[in-house]
Amino acid sequence: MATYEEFIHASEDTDGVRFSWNVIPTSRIEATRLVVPVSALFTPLKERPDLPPICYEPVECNKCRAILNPFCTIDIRSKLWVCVFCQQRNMFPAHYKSISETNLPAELIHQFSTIEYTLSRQASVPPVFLFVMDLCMDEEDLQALKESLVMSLSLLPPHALVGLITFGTTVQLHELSCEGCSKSYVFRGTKEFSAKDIQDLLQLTPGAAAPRVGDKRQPGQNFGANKFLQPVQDCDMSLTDIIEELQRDPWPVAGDKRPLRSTGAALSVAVGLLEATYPNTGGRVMLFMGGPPTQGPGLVTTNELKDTIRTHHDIMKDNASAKFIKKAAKYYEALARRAAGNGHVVDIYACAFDQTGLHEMKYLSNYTGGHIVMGDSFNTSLFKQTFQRVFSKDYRGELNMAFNATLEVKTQPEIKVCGTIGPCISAQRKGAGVSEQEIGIGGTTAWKVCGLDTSTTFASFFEVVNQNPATIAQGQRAHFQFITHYQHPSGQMRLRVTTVARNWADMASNLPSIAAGFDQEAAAVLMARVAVFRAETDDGPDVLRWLDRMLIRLCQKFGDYRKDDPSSFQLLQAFQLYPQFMFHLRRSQFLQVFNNSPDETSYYRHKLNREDTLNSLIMIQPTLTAYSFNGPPTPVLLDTSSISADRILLMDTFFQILIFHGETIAQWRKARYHEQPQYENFRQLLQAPRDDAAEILQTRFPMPRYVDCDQGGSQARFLLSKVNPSQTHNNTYSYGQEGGAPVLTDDVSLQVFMEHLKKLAVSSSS
Amino acid sequence: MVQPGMVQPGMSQPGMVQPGMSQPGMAQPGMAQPGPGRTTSSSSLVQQGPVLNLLEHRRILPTAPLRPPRPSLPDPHRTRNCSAKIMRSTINAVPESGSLLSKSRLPFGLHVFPFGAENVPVIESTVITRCRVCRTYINPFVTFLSQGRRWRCNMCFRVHEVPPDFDFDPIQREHIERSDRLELNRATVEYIAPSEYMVRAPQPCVHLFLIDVSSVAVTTGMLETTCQVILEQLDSIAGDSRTRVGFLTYDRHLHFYNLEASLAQPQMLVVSDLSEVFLPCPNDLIVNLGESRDIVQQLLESLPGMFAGNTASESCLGPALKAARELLGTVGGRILVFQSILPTLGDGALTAREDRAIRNTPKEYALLQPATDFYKQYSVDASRAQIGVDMFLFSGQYTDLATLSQATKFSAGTTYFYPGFDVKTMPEMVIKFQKELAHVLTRPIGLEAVMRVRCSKGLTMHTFHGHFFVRSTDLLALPNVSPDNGFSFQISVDEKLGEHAPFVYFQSALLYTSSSGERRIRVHTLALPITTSLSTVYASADQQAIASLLAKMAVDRALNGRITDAREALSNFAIDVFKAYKQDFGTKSAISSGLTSPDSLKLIPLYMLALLKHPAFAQSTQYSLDERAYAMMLLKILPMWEINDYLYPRLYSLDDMAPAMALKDEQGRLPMPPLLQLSSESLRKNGLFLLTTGQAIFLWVAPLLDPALIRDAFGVPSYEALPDTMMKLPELDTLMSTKLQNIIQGLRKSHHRYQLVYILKESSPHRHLFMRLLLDDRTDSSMAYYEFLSHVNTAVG
Ligand SMILES: [Zn+2]
Ligand SMILES: [Zn+2]
Repeated sequence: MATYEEFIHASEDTDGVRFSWNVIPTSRIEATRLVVPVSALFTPLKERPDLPPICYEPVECNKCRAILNPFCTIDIRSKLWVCVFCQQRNMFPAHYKSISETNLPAELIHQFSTIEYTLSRQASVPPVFLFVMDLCMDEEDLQALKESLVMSLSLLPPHALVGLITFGTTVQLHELSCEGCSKSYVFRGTKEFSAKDIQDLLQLTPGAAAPRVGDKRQPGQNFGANKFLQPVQDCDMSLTDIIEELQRDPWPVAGDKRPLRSTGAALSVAVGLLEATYPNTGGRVMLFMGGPPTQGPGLVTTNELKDTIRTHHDIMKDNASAKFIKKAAKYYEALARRAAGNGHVVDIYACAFDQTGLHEMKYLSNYTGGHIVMGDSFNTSLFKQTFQRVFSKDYRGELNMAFNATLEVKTQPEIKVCGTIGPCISAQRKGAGVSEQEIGIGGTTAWKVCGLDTSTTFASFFEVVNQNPATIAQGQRAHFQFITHYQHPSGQMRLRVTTVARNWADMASNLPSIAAGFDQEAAAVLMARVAVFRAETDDGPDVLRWLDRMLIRLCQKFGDYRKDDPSSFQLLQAFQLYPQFMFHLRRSQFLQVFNNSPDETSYYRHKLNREDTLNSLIMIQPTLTAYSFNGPPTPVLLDTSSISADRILLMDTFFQILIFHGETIAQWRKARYHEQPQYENFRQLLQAPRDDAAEILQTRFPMPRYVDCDQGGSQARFLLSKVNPSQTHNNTYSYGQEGGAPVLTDDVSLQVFMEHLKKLAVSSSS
Repeated sequence: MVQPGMVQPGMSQPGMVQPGMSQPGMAQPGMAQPGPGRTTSSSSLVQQGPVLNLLEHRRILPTAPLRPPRPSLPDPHRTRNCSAKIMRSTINAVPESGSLLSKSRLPFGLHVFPFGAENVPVIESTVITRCRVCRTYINPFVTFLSQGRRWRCNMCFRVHEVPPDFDFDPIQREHIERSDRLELNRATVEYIAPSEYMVRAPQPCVHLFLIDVSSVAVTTGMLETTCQVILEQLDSIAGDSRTRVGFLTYDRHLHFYNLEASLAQPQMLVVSDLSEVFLPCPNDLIVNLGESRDIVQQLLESLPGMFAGNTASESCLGPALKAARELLGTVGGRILVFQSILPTLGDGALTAREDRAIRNTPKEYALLQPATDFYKQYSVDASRAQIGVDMFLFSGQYTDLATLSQATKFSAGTTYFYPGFDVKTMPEMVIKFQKELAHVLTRPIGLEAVMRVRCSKGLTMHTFHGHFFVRSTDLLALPNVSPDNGFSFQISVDEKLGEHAPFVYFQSALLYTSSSGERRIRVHTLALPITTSLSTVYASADQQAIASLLAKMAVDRALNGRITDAREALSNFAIDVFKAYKQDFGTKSAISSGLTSPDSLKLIPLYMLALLKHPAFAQSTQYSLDERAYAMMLLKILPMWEINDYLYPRLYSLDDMAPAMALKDEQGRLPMPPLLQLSSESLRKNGLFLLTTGQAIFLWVAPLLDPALIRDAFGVPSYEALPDTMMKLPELDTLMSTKLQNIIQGLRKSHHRYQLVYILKESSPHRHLFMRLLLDDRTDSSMAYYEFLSHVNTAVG
């Protein structure tokens, strides 16, 4: 048998699933003692080029609606199958009459534990892309943004519908092809618009069926929406003209003022328009903003420059600048619920030097599966590249984008669903599978996900409710089925079904096997999601204390030690990295907010909430690679001790790619040795991290910030804030030793942290 | 009785010749010229015409339109006096006291037409000499004292020093004789105002077009026609290089247009939220016409296409007006509204309130009151913001003109009415609109105007008629002054007149910004003699001016009270005035019985009867509420010479014209056949008649008209072959056709509203349009002229 590590990665590759525990205790009591809940990170649309196209309908269990899968027992002779979730015996449908051991449908073949159906009974609907564009920005930014938008038209599928809203002091909804005159509908920037308002104001007839792909009729024609939303292939010329003619918001702005930016009203028009015209159809509102909303509903600050935008400090102290938060957040949350309820994504592309209000607006993206992209200016490669990547294509040349999805989790009666943490809202599906214990978005077994891609990852939490371990027979397994119903960018409706099984084990007799099944990476990410979810509502220190308590309890449960003897403390291999993850999580920007703005915090948390295990781990504990003349590039500890004068370090924090030149390297570089032929090896050394960085920069979404710095330079602080402060100005005893550089910080080092942890774990009083 | 004659050309009209009353053969010269060739006489020497017994004169109408009587003044007052085209009094010898005036029972009032004259002499002077007490402008009627060093104001009699450089021409830099000073020689002059006459720099001429684009506006061709006319006139529209234009269209939404010159095409900005109208963009909605000429043209060419197939059946005129007000902001300007249907959305929304069941009841007349204060308040606010509103209404259905025209009332604008406008069914109506709109766009315009009429001490102006807003007691605010609109003032005599001089004076001063951006003051001064004699008062009465003033007073009465009050007042006036006359003179005169009247008032009963049958006051269901409201408005604003025909239309017999008639004479004038009474007795079974109200022309073809003449006139072989109703007179190469063309062209030129021609025969479904204008005849609800005379006679006793 393969190692657990191999098993975990294989499961991730085929099914996009990573469980915190790969062996599940058979009773409720035991399961609660695991500390880290039975939970899974699940990437519903994990890229699977090897999946065959399945163009028939899935077969459902008559009783529990779970879908036929390779784990089901089948009786070929009597054409029966038994549901693994409810044990119901189901007849195969008539057209399965010819199945035999050698002629099985794909969904019964083991390698297709994940399978995707293309549903023909549902209409194909083209996705809708609605640009919502701020016109209050300087000429360069506007020009850059216009170019990006025009470029994006060529990246959209030709049948996709597009529309354009611009805003500043007022909100303008642009008609796409108007002869002899460009035409837009103008809305007051100070009002909120319901779907009904939009319907009335634009004379749209609601309730008309969404058009099918390939329909000769113009989509939306019969209810007036085709003025505003048209297939790219029909309107790209006119829309390009409209975008190119766009001017900065024409209303004058005094020197001591911010422009009047009606972001809230603009979003209500956008959300209302899609709600009125394409409800429950894939749609993407793409908001581009160059500053904070300053008027109307959802204003984040005033248009007076002297009123600064709230900081974490202001929020904590309840200062005047924080007075708009509650109302604005409430406004955007309600808007986000409307959008999410109708299956529409909201992306926020915020480029400005100051904050733009992401703290209040984050719900829009978090509830709908939209992107948040943060930058200084639209005229940067960071934005341009990132935006281009939004439209990246899969191996089939189709947009890596899925819409209007429902994610459902099926479990057998011994296991219930506590909730999910990820970019979604509850789909309000109650039933026997719902646990009373809530973690994340609970009270349901299904979630609405308006926008997702091949890496969007959800954390699902489970509760083992089985009381008596004896009821589970030896060799039985726990099954989980993830059913993702979504709209493919081609317009097709598809159903992805992933069914996985994990062994049961009685903890009393088989603790080592349960412990061996621990996936510390997944567990760290899952716990990070819970911590961040809590941090949104709880006080920061409370969350940290909770994290500590959980860590200590885990160490107590799975550590090997003698009571009250910290030096005897040992952790199994499967747990060894976990405390370090928790150490870095504790001091990460996700939980230590005061060095960042509220907008940045919202942005970071937003990303953690949707990335896969690997990316999330990088966010929690950045990777550090050392380049030197002494050998090939090697991963090194994220520790001050890794800093050395003759090394180049490459740090990847997910959000940032940093190249750090040690003192000596920096001096050589300054002296331009690398330009001299005799120092070719130095040129190569300098180039190596650059090449590796470039590879990451080219693929990561959003494109990370790139920092090139030297030891002692001001930008080096980005590295120093991340490394474990094993050498600080407080423990200078190690200063002057070979390697390492002290960091000016009062933070505890990993070593100190571990000592405390051991002490507490072994303590008989705790 | 019928004799050829001559007629005076109008001041701003080409010559249309009419048989003369007393001086055949001479055309009356234009403005500021001596009056008719009466002997010079003092006020006591006014010639008195014969006293008539009206009952014995069934044919009372003169053969040619009356010319205004001239006040009897000595030279140089007579030769320098203001033209009757500009200022015309109801009485040309002013009673010396209030009691004398009231004894005469005549209404005393002044019709002023301040902006119509052309070729007004312009004075460019650094000093404008005015009375320091009453602010009267120096005029030909002041007296110089102390060897010309001082002058006495002819209004308040105060004496002032003549300004030191009064006799110095600053432009030529030389001495100027007082006899050469224009303001001392001409009763009508125009000053270029120095800076103290400006509250702010003169504003550019701004034309803002508000065009209804609802489905009706599109299908009737209103939108297309409007755009086409504006386009055609784009280079001749009033203004200069600073002229600015803007467009606002509306149906159930408002559409603004960004016309910034550098745009590739116009940008339409739709505001659909009417609850709080706002401007979608801070600038470029009103643009310099010169700079944005191309894009404006592009817009006008595209508008009809853009709204082709528009299904919106609503109209948000009120919000559009509010937006227009915002757009014009502090600059002011003019708003031209083109409205095809009843406004139904937002502020100022109206409902179709005309109800057949209440026709001719007091309830119906209540509908002449505005349904909402919105439009009235709007025009008051517009006036304050220096915005004038003109309105063009096109609906074939009830359009509540009574309410809508309020928007033009206080903003000094005009309402134009084209009921049933449709390019498919009414091509002639389209031409009428095209001509009138072109005229409105290109005629001179005065902006940011104020007008004041001063009068001699002892007289008071008390009631004003016309479209304006009274800003302070006697200051009329006219955001736009139109050369087509007149104003009237009722006057009372408060003190005994004549202590200082045997004359009274009226001076109208209009301060305005010309379309070329100059601040100008146009001043007209009228002198009238004072009389102590009641007979002179009667003899100097101007019966047309009186009828016109009474019509305006009757409109007020109808709108402030009931229409029956107005009708009663009109017939009572005839009774009162003849009773008063009889009391004083009847017994002394040779005629001791019957209804005695001085020659100067002999048409009063005819005019009063005509007013009782006028669309404004008729007790008849033949006129819709809109027509009635429109008629009332016209009575209030039409200039004197247009009102005459509107009150008592002209009727000509054309089949039996003398050979020289209707052909231009050597002077380019057009001799016209004699006028006929508006009676069916005037019509012959074999005749061809023409009737004009100044608003429309009717050709009545009698059944037995000579077929040869029918062929010559209409190009069809027989009466039977003639369509029931024709709106277009064929242009044929015949003498008759030429004459008809001449007459119609002449009549059209004499009025600023384009007159439609209706060619009717007895079988025409539109015959009532003509028949109802036979005002002398009896109808079910009204008296014949003779009956009316008897009624008055009986009442006079
Ligand atoms: Zn089942
Ligand atoms: Zn005076």
